Amino acid sequence: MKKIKTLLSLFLLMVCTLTWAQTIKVTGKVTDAVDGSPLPGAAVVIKGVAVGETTDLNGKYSINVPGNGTLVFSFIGMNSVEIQVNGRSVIDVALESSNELDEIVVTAMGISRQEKTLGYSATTVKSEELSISRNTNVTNALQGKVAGVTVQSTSSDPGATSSVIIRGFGSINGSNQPLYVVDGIPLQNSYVTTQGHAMSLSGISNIASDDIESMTVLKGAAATALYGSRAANGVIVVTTKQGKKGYQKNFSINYNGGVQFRQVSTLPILQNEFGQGWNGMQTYIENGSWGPKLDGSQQIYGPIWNGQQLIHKYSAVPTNVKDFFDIGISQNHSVSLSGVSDDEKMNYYLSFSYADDDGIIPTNSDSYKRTTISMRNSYQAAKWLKISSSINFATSSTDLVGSYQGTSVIDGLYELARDVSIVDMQDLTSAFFTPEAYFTPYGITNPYWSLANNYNHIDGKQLNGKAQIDITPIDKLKISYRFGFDYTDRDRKIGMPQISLDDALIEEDYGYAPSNMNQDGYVYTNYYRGYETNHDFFANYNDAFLNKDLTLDVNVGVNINERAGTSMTGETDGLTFFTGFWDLSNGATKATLSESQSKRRLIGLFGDVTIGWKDMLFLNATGRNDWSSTLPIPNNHYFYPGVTLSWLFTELIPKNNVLTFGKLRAAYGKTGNDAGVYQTTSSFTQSTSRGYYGLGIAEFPMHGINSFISSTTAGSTTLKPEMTTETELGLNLQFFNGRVGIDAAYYDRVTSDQIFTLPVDPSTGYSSMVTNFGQVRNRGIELLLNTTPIHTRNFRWDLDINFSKNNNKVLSMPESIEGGRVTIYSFSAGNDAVYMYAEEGQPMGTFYTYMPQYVTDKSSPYYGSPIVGSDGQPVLGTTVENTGYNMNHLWTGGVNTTLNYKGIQLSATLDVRYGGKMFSRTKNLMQFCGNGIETIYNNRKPFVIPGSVQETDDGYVENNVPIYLKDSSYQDYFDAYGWGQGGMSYLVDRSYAKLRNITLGYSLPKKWTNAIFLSQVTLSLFVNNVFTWTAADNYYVDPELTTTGSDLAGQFGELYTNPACRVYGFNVNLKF
Amino acid sequence: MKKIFILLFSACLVLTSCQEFFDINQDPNAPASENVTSDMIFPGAEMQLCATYGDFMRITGGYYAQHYAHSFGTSNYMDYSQFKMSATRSSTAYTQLTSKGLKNYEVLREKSSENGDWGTYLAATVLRAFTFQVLADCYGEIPYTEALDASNLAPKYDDGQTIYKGILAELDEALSKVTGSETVATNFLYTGKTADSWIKFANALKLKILMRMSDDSSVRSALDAVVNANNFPTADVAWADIWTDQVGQANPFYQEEFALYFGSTQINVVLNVALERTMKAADDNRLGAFFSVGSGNEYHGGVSGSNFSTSKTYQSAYWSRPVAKYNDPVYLISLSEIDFFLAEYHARFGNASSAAKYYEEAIKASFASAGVDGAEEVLAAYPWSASNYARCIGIQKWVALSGINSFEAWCEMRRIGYPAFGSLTGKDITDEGDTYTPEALPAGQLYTPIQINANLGNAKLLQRWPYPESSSSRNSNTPSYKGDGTAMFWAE
Repeated sequence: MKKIKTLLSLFLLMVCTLTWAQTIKVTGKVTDAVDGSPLPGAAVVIKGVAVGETTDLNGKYSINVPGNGTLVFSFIGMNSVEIQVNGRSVIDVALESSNELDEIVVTAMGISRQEKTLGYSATTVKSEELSISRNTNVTNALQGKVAGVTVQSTSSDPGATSSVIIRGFGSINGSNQPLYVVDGIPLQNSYVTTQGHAMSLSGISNIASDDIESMTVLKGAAATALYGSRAANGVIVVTTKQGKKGYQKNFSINYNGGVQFRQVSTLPILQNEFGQGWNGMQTYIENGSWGPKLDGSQQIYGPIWNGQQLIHKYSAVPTNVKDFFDIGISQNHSVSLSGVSDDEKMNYYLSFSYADDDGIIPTNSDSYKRTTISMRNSYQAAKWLKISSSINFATSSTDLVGSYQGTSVIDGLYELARDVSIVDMQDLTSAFFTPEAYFTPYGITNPYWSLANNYNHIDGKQLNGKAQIDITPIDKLKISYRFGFDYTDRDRKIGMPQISLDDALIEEDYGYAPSNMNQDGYVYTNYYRGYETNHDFFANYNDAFLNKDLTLDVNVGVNINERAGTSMTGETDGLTFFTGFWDLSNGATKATLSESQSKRRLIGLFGDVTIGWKDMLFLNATGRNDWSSTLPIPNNHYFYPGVTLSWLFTELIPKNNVLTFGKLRAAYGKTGNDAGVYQTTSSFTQSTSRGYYGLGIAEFPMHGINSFISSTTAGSTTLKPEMTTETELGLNLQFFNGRVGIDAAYYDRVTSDQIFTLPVDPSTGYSSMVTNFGQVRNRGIELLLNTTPIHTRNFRWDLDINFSKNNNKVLSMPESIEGGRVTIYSFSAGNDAVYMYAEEGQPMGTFYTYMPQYVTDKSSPYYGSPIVGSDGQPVLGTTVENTGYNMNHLWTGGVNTTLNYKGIQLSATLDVRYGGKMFSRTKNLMQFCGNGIETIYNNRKPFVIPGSVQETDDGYVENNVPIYLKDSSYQDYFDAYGWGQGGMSYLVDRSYAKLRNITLGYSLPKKWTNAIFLSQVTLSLFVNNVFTWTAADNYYVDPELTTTGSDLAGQFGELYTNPACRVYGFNVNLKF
Repeated sequence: MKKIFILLFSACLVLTSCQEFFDINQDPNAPASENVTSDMIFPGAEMQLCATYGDFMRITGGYYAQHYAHSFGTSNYMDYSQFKMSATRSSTAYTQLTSKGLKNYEVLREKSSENGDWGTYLAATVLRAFTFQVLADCYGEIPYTEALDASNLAPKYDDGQTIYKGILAELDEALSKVTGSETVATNFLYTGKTADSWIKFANALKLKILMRMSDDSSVRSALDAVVNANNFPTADVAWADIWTDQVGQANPFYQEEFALYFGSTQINVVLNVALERTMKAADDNRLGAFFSVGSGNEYHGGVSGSNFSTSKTYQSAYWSRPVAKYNDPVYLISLSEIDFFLAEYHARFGNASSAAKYYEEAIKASFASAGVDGAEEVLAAYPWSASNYARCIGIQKWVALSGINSFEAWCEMRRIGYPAFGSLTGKDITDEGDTYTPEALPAGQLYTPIQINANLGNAKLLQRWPYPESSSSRNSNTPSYKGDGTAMFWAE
């Protein structure tokens, strides 16, 4: 009852005011204080009443207002100004650029806070910056823009996922990806790894960049405590566009769309001097270039088939690899309708988007199509009641070209002898361009044939959204309930053709019959569906005391979360229809089915209190307690607190025009993280056994009997949550009214009690074991410099530079395991092995491999010389050794610049990452097949490894055993001994500088656009991935690409990755 | 505010009283452990040994024993052909035999001893002993006394003698508890049979273990006892009659090297010239049972350490490949081996006439296994010689095992010392191009491979493998490697 009384009295008061005031008409002009240019679309609102106007194209307005009223002038990016009318009829206003720190930031649980009150780092990227480069996956638009955030596109292939790492890798086994929260609802952000590619199928990739108002990156643990377990790696808060008034009307229609052209950009550098062959001799069926020097003579090659044989000129085809790729044409369109009802009680936003990306590989077998429909509404049913909802539906369809060895496209292409032309091979009706009589039967085949006969398709759907009620029972209290839902499904299909050749038509196979290429064919089907529901109850109370010097803001709430997934996989082989019919019924063997289900629940209870003093000092404390189903009962709950302090010290110094704003901030926070599902017990699994090269050589049921054996992974009944503790100090400074801004942060983050499935000595009875162990520290600095060096009436130049340096160290690791280290990822083939370890005292991701040996006896005259065996080849160690290299960049940075001149905008983004190594199978392949530029060392003439010595019973003696091409030792030197580097031959420098984007945009003058009933027309041309500079000794790959996943393991490197590409685009933005 | 408190209060109530809300962490994709019986475990557990012993061990043993050489055009096993092994190469096999094989024999032993199911207990103990012996014969030292204990992540490595003595004691303990009529859990080795067959197998295994240790006089009494009891298998101990011509269901060696449906597209394994020369010299009919003809309807053996990669003449189709069928048995111990052991026992410790008899029996049993006639011709070419018993047994055992168990051949060659190396190297037989003179190699002789393993040296068999990477890289108690040429304790 009391509430209604208050409302009633307020209403009466308002009516009285309106009745007594005399209304007058006020006109005027709103301009930019810096250059005096008019500000069209600025809001002019009568204070206390939700009535207002917007300025026209010339910044002019006209409004009826009570003579004693107050007008509020506001414009995006400018400080609002309140002016008392005092009976005046003309009021001109010049607005100043707003202090960025007055901006509102959406933080935990959808709570809005002024940035100046935050004691931690939060960086916001606005819609214009997100949509400018037209990346179908919006996370790529963050590349190079936010200090301390590393965004890596795992592949140039359409639909590939991007890895986002905030402040370094902390978790060895779990995910290091941030949590995406869209309008308060956590998003399922999954990806599928298939044939070396991590493909986005749900989550952030299903949100059209045009639907996003802003993305805010919350980096520290204190910032993320309220989001619970999944926020341990930071949070990216996505705020979508809400219904807004249009220009001079209640709605607007916006179209944004364009076309893009993709072109291959980075390929291995190849030699052009030697052609097809092995050991220096010509062999007509080899897939490498270890043959004689190219001499331009006419030569036969490939098998004799049906009395015919291929001939070609024995000379280099320098562009034979590049010639394979074509221009991929992509398009994207989005249309949105945004508006507000007449009474302004309801707003609505409806959008539709379509993107269709085609990659650089011929045909549409590397393509991605995505459609999204999105609708958001809110309705102020009563002053104390607001309901809102949103729904987002996305479908995607991905075709991809698998990586790896064998009949994959890239392997077939990169191993092509240097004298063999690719473009002639498109005719798949010729036996010479199919496995039947292809020039080499050694595991690889015509890439065009591979492309036409291999299949990898994924369909994905996601339906997510929310329903929310906000109740304001009394003025200062808001109670909300929000239901969030997210349903995802995907259908995957992989097909490999059957090859069944008889060699009857082959008259001469030169020693290796094409039928050795025979394979059984394969169909793989997987269906997955997953859902997540969230119930959030929360309450917000804010008040001010002591003359508003003391402010109080309290949030408390409960989150109930459930996540579940179901998947079923079917496989069959021995295909009846050799290719093209990818259905489980096509197998001659009965399809095997397997299923997998998971479900988890979590309840979190949280609270958050902010106390402000004189708009200068803000103290915030948070606490959360989680109960999780994935931890052992009864120790399944854990508490984590956070506290931050923000001090606007410039409030204490006299106002001046040099240092206009200064803030010091400090934060301390913890975030707990629970385990994956079903890690608390050991179980039995259906029995299967490996052969040497393949899985499943003995697979149950067998001989009519089924069998279950003890799982090779041991669960843990004593699992504890993984804890991340972070301390952060920061400084924000603004000089010359925002012309120069500095944001600096120092952080120290320690992740302890890591939950890890640890590889253990199989002698223990298990090959891996779930356990808590180890501590990893990430410590670093982030610097952000925003400047506007030039700002005149018509010209503006903005330059932002960011820099970050993260030091990553494994602080502790139990000595008993792997000698104090665990494997993050490894590669082994034949006698080669490269390991990426987390080792105590070392940075995360330290590379180990078999190393060439050197004389270590300091008294020897040969100290430091490479040791070779009696065969003249390097002696490699018998155990893997520390290479001294690791996966981490030493530092990363970015430069963003924009030039504006009379509606013309030119902007560019440079992204620099320096230091670190990665594994490259492409590099090794180039050395194996003799195509790489390095393999013409010494012109392939015999040589003795310079400075090498042999170990004899009488000590070291100078080596004089040469390496010859003719007896295969030259090839061995490159392949088995990695050009004298042993396993180091797989490692390449991961440094690069990328000019990510250049955009030229032009906004048509208003008088033109008005003539065609549009309020805004912007045209833009852009190039993405313009240029990549790599380290001098990286002749092989774009170091950003990976085929080993999108998280920590993804830092390992690549196995036959598809090459990178450059995108040229044209875009139109129309607003009605 | 009141509403919030009610809300929070009720939430707390729910959390404290309803832990069952969170009790959903039992993996729905796995059966409940308490419901899994020995019958469900045994076939899967024994197949771990079968899959590794019948495939990886056969292939590697075949190259080390010079039964096999490498085919033209591929190089997948060239290192084995050059008498090399690396820590990574054997890692998968080690992991499978330990964490999947031995672990489950242990689960079976625990379950069966709880239930007094001593037939199953013996069967699991036999497979455990067999597996430990195989591992000890590859690596010399491996974790044994501290193995299979999940609470010890760095089990110490035990020397070969400790392992051998330990498994003998385990076999004796299990044998002491069982009677022949007891039942054994469902298994593939002896479908539907009682413990009696397993007792016989256990005795054969004891014979094999004790004969390996026979230079140690302290095992003589145990050896005498098992020989005198004479309760050995009456048929080859092998997984037979369980195979189907499908992926995951057929003989593992056949799948790995011959079956398209397993993804085998490359020709790697061919006959070795050393075996070819020896068998041809005796007109040995088993050659055709063990290997198929190469070009010209003739048997051609390749040369260790080479794959003739640039030869214009000696290409893939030239060489003889092993005869392999989907339903080939995977042999654990053959009657022929038992007879060879008995022949050797009698030659060294018993009576000469028994030795000669068992030698003959051994060769006849091998012919019977191979399904061909002609033992007499071989006996004529390689007659028993009491004074030179080691050479007779060594060479004929090597030949007999060449079609069924190359791994065991490699072990016994290391112990017996026959067949022995001559002074020839592979380069005396071929230049790896178009010169190939197999006649250069005398019968019954080994030769040094081309591209010899520099850590081993000339005229020597590979004696051991580097400790497997899956153990050595994760276990801080791994000893340092003794080197490729350091003999096992039983071959010193």
